[in-house]
Amino acid sequence: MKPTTYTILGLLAFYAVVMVTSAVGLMNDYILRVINLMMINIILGVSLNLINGYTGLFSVGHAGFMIVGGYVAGFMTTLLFGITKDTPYWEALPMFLVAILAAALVSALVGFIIGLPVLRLTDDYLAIVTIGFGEIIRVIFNFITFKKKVGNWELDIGGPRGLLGIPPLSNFTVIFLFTLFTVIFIRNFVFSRHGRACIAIRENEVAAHMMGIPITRYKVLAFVLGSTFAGIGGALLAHFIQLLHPTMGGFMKSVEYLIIVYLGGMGSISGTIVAAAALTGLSELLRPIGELRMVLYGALLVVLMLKRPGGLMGQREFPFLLPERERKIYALQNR
Amino acid sequence: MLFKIVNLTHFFGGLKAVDDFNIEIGPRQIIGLIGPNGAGKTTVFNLVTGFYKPTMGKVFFQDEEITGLPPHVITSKGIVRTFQNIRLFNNMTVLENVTIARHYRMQYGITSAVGRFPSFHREEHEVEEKALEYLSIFHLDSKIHQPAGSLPYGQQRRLEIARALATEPKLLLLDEPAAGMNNAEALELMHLIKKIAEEFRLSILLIEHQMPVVMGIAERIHVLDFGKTIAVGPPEEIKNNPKVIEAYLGEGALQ
Amino acid sequence: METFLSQLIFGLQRGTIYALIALGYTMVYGVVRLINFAYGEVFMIGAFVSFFLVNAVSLPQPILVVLALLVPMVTCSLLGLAMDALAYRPLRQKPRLAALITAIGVSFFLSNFVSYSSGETVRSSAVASFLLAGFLILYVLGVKVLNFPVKATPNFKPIKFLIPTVSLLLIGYIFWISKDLLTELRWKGSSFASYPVDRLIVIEKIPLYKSVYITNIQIMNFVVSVLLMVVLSYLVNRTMTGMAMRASKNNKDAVALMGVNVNRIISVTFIIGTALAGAAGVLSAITYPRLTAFMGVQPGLKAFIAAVLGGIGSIEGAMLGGIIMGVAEQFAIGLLPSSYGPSRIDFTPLADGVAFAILIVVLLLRPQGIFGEPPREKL
Ligand SMILES: Nc1ncnc2c1ncn2[C@@H]1O[C@H](COP(=O)(O)OP(=O)(O)O)[C@@H](O)[C@H]1O
Ligand SMILES: [Mg+2]
Repeated sequence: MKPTTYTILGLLAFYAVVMVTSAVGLMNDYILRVINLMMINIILGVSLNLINGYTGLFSVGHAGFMIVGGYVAGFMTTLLFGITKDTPYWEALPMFLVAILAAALVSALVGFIIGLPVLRLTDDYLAIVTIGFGEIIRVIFNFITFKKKVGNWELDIGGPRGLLGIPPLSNFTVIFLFTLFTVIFIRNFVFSRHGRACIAIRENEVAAHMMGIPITRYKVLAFVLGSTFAGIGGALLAHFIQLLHPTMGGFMKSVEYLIIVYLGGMGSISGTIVAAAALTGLSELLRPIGELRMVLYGALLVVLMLKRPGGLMGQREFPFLLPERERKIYALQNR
Repeated sequence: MLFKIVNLTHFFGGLKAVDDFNIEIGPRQIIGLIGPNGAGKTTVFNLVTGFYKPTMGKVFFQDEEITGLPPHVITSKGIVRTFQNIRLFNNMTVLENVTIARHYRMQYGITSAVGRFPSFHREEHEVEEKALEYLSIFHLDSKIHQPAGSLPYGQQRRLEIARALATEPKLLLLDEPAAGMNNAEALELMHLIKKIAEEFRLSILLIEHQMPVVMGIAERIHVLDFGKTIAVGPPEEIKNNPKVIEAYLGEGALQ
Repeated sequence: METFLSQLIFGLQRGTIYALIALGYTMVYGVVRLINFAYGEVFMIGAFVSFFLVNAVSLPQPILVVLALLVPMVTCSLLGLAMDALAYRPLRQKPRLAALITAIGVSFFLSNFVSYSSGETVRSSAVASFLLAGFLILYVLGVKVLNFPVKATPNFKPIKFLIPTVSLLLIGYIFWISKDLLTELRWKGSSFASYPVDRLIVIEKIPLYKSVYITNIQIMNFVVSVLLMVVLSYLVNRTMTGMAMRASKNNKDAVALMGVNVNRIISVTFIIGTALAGAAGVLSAITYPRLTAFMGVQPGLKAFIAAVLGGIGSIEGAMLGGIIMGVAEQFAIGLLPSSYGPSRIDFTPLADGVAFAILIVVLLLRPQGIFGEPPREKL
């Protein structure tokens, strides 16, 4: 059997175990919830790693793109399509997929509009512009309110109270498939001439430019791709936790994604997956200590940079995540 | 004429780093550019390859004006350079460093990359073969999967030249390729440069700080001092030119 | 005309606060090319230190006003020193990204620390600070504590321990006086505190022209900021340290070669920048008395944008940028329809977007800002 086969079997087994245990009632709802959140965080972490890890940019507004996707998809399913809790799932699903696609496209567009002017300049500006973006998104979503008819009532939704009543359309299967799609997409991108171009820019921008790589185009590409997947993650998250709040797009949330990337390792998909899962689990465990968790996160970021700037995995990958050729090279390197 | 620079001038603030520089390079010529430290040699390279925009003057390549084009476009036209201070992609493997140079010659798009379509596999296979050819010329083929940053200094220098060659340039600009090498190593490198120039039908503009090294291979030498061209001619003439000797003595006095 | 004038006065006041914070950004960026994201948090801490002090001590009014401004400035500069020494200095030779990430971490840590704080945690922090200070003192006196060996290195200078010890004592003291207050106020970081302005100053409106007036708080605000900026200009233009600071902007290596201790220059830059941010926090608290742990995020961001607008690295630029930013924002607030107007929808929150719009325009048209030099070529 080829090694890739093992990876596929492993994924199928994971999927089957979760499905079977929840079908026969062995799976605790809470644990399933945590697993789903882990996978959504993997989508956000891996996509941010493409921007900050592989390409060496510094976006601090990933949550902003996430919430743009969330709001776009949420508006569409609740207002445009009028999906409620009672809509049969198979009827709602195609509309949900359309909404996710729209979320991805809008996030991509916003990423492009922001990235194009800023990425021509020194790297610092991206940080400040993306922080500003997160804050401005919050202001805008705080501002957008509208009326919605539910039964005989007209409700004010949106605004500072957030978007409520989003139908629970993200189930384990949907999230699992999108996570898989994201990881495979970004892995295949990274291990191609395009990904190599991004890494070369991170390693030495001047030399990359001289070797014929259009650096601004690739920076924008990486930024837009990362933002697109953030939008997808946001759409999934919105339809999983069933509500959106303007503050979810702000600086605080973005820092959580930064920690996932830098804890896992800049330029390691495997590291990001481990860190996303670990931090999601950890924050559930740390829920009793409340805000202290945030204090610890801030300290963690500082200590990480001082003591272990490479994160857990550096730039290494688990062999089973690598494409075939890279896996062979990995075997040669580690003989 | 393959390559021509006309009246090139560049200011850094009030400092005239390059002052009315002119040069013509024909096909398969090796030309030397020498001068004491700070004479403006590297700045000429930076101007030609699009990292700086010249204050004045024009650059032509194959009868087309290329002044002020961005570096990646310059590369695709057929001019490439190495750097005085080595600039490798340190965390990438030796092989990847060279495949990057083939980037702009590859075709497959993002869809093919993500979907792993046949064009992806075909081109990736081709690029690896090609990269290995270049690496074997420079005797680096036993180290292809090592991170470039882990190579010893001399090999890093050679990798940089291999990487530049892999873009298949018509004009190669080498910025002090023998810097930090002892005399024997430097001479060996010069033989290699001469060999590849013949093999790949290249023109080379070579900056070298140490005069004896460049004397052996250049058919003509331009000498810069404080941005000005103080002498042009074949090596024997330059060797005995009093102005050149003075410029180098002046530097010697400073050191 | 009258609305224009009143808006201008309010705008200038807003602007001086932004300018004070922007100065810190621009000075540190000029010397170490680091965006110290934590200035917004320093601003917030300045406001809180003043808040605790004014609540905790009763002194004659003029003395209290001076202390309410000076103590936060001193505390904040100690904080700035600590930030630099612990978080940024070790990373100076590393890629710039690492320091940038650290700065985000520091900022996140500080705001959440305040947000988390309560009577209990503050008391433990006070005890910890005192213990640490005591430990340092014993260390200097050569007493062996907990088997911790005292190094008798030849260049051991007790004076080096003076600043950390004093700062720990001061911070411990501030924690200590604030702990009872926190308990008394049933303070929870996530809530907000009201700055007791009336203990410092009784608001008076002084008519200027028809219905246009200026308050004594605004006057105080202008006087203090102008004074601080004059002192700053003197420091930067007339003292040796200031000259070294300006020289470091162009070429750090050359300055180091001339025998100047670059790390000391950087420390001084941090001290000045954080002191100004602390002062801005106090001035802001007197004008907008509602304090929260996250009150620094927005002003910090806007002040940075002001610094970019003025030309990052340029001191005059930061002052001018701050003023422009404050005035622009105030006019936006004035011009946007509010909930009292005919539309019944409150558009004023959108004024927060003005800063962002300015940023985008600057980056598109003149990325180096008003007074900035064009970006240095990369090679
Ligand atoms: N980016 C720059 N900004 C300002 N001055 C520069 C810059 N690059 C080079 N210089 C100055 O231009 C002159 C020529 O430098 P350079 O071309 O590197 O000399 P060479 O390569 O001949 O040793 C020197 O005086 C150097 O200090
Ligand atoms: Mg040079």
